[in-house]
This record gives sequence, structure tokens and C-alpha cells, in this order.
Amino acid sequence: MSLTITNLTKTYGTGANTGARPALDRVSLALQPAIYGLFGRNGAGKSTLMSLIANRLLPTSGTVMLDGTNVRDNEAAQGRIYLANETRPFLWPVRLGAIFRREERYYGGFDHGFAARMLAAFGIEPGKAYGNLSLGQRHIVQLVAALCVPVDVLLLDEPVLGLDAANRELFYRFLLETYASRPRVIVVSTHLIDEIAHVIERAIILDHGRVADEFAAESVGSRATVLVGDSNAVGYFVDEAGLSVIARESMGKLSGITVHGAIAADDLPEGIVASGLGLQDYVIRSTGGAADGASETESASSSRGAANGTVNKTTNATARDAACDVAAATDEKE
Amino acid sequence: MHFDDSSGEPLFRQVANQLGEAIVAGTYREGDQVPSTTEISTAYRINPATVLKGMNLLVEQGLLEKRRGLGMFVTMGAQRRAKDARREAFLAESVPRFIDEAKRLGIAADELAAIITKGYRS
Repeated sequence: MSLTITNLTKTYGTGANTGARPALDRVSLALQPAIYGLFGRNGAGKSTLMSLIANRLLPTSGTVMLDGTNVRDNEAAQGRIYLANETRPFLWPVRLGAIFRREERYYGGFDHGFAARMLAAFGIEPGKAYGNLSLGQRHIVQLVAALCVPVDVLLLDEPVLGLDAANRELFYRFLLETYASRPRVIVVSTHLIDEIAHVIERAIILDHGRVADEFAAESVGSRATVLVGDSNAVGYFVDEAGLSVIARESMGKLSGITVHGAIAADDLPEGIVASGLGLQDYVIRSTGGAADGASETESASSSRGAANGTVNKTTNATARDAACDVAAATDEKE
Repeated sequence: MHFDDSSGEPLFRQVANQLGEAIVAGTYREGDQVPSTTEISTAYRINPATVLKGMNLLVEQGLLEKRRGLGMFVTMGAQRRAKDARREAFLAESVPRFIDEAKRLGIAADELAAIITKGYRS
């Protein structure tokens, strides 16, 4: 089973708005059964991508193929795809059992035993009507339904938003359990990156509607290297070795330059220390959060009204503040 | 088990090391069945592919064996082998790193030797 996305582009608005920047810009991905993390800043195109796969939106151009057939307006293919996001409301007066049976009819199956076990673990009474649950509980019911339908492609758009820490942990356990019992394409978008770093098998990073990187999550430590040392020495080494810069930070005479790829310890000059990055730090740096250099800082600098020349002239203070903005934005999400 | 992202050690190696450690400590004895990939995966919220990669490393090292349809078991002689492997890794990797660091800090060989001897006595 495979989901193949080719040159998928979505531009919102038409007419006067033509020439607008696409929300999704020629995205190509080949997804196999695995748990994927979909990361990127607010507005990077994560929800747009999921909605296009699930036929909730129509692409401006490009295709999504499930096992060789186009999923666009294709009911048979869409019956194998499930998108859980905030805009999937169930009817309020309906009891949970009836909601699950409705999903069962549409998707041709439902794991009622697993649903009952999850509801019990989350402390939700199965006999209740959907509308009598709290906001967080309603959200959990949506996730329970998503994990119990026998689809081949499961798209979870910010599934842990609004869940407390203990419930998030429970959710990750159930996600792994259902994946192990039936491997399928599962895509999870989230801003709580560190929490899910071990849960996912592969990571997709979107930046301004484009795929910035797609890799085995486990190998994140070798995707990039942070070189720290005397500013001149680090800068000289990076230029000499022709390394591709992702981000630069500096504090007085010390510089930290993040570059693509791993660097063998033997290749390092004396006085420069190299280290890898965790998934969250890598995502932040490769989406222009804490840096200038190769990635764009447009959103960071324009939001601060500090568009003073080229990206390379972005002051270090700005770069650090931008990092704080990212952290703050992540906190708001929680 | 405890997993540390900042250690720079790939997660599947950490899984293997910790299971290996449990074998050295005798928590899992020779012939014992170890938890399944799914059990470890859900308990520690680690992707099953990563857990499997760690388990396969232990199979390669001869510490675990797959029994078809049953699961993974600790091999005969696993404890001895695991201990030997750790001893080798300590002498080949940890000790040279330790000496390099001492050199960098200007600690003389006899000074270091004296500290080591003292450490052994306490």
C-alpha cells in the first residue's frame, strides 16, 4: 500500500487574488505504512496537505494517488482515508455508540473492543451523548473513532491539541498499539515535537508550503551538526569545507553554526565542538526559527517589522528573539 | 528504561544497550523470554521499527534469538558475552576518551594513576 503525492499545489482564492503565494507548493512525497510526523510553523501548509489528501479541498494542481488511483472525488479511495481534525463534528445529541456505528457503516468496520478500552482509559462514559462531554473529551472521542476505523491512510491534524499531559501519553500508547496491530500510513501533525520524536518513524518538515526535509526520525542526529567555537575559526572552517549552512547564532566571540549533515570528529579542527540536534531543534532551525542562512526568515523578521536588508544581515539578537517567538508560539498552542 | 536524546546515541542503540544491561544484571536470565517489540513500543512510546532495530542488534551480537511464533529469548551464554562486549567497549572507547580529556586538561599520567589507585581502594 502506498500514497504517492506528486507536485501537489494549492493556492487559495482566485481572480483578484491570483498570483497569491500558494499554501502548498509542488509537494511530492511517497508514503508507505509507517507513522509520519508532519512538522512546520503555523501556516506552513500542514492542514492544507491533509485536507487535499482527504478530498476536503481540491488541489490547484498535482495529484494524490492511493495504490495507483487518484483519490480526488473518488469515493472508493476516500473510504480508505480518514482525516481527524477540528472540523469533523459529530452530532451533539447522538450517543457515542451510535456515532461509532455510523463510522462503521461508512468505513466498513470498527474496532468496538478497542474503542471501549480507550474510552475506559480516558475516563469517558460510553453511554453518554457527544454533546454532554467536555471539550477535551469530545476531542478524545474523535481520536478514538479515528483509531478504530479500518482505513489504510489515517491523517491526524494536531491530535493532542487540548489534551493534558497524561492523556497525551495515553494517546501515543494507543496510537502505537493500533499501528502495531495493523501497520498503515499514519500522518500526525503536531507542534509538541519532542513528545512525539520517538513515536514516529519518519519526519516531514514543511516550510512555506514546500517540503524542507523528509527523513527517518531516528537519524535526526546526523541530519545536521552544530559547530560551536571561536567565531572566526568556526566561520573559516565552514567556508573552507564548503558546508551548507542552516542557521547561525552568535554570542560575543562564540559562534554556533548549524550545517547540513554529520561531520566526522577527525575532520574537526582543535577548538571546535560539534553536536547533533534533537528533532525539535532541527525543525526550528530548518524552518527559519532561530536563524538566517539557507532558510528564510521572512515570517520572523517581518512580524517584528525589522526587515532591514538581506537575511544575512539579520542581527543575532533578532535571530535569538525569533527563537523565543517560536517557543512562545509553541507554548500558546499547548 | 530511560532514554536520553542529548546523549547523541541513536535510539535503537539505547534500546539495545538497556536490554543488554538487563541481561548483564541477570534481570532477564538465559532462556528467558524478553518483552515483545509491541510491549516495549507501547510501554516506552517508541516506534516499533526502532525497537525492532535495537532487538535485531542484540540478535546480531548473539544475546537474543528469535523463536518462530513465540518471540525473542535470551541465548545461552548471553550474560558472559554481554559482559565481555561491555568490557571491550570500555577499554577500546571509554578509556581512551578519558585519557584524552585528562591530557587536554594537563593532568599528568602518574597523577591520574594515583587517583585511579585511590578510587579502587575506596
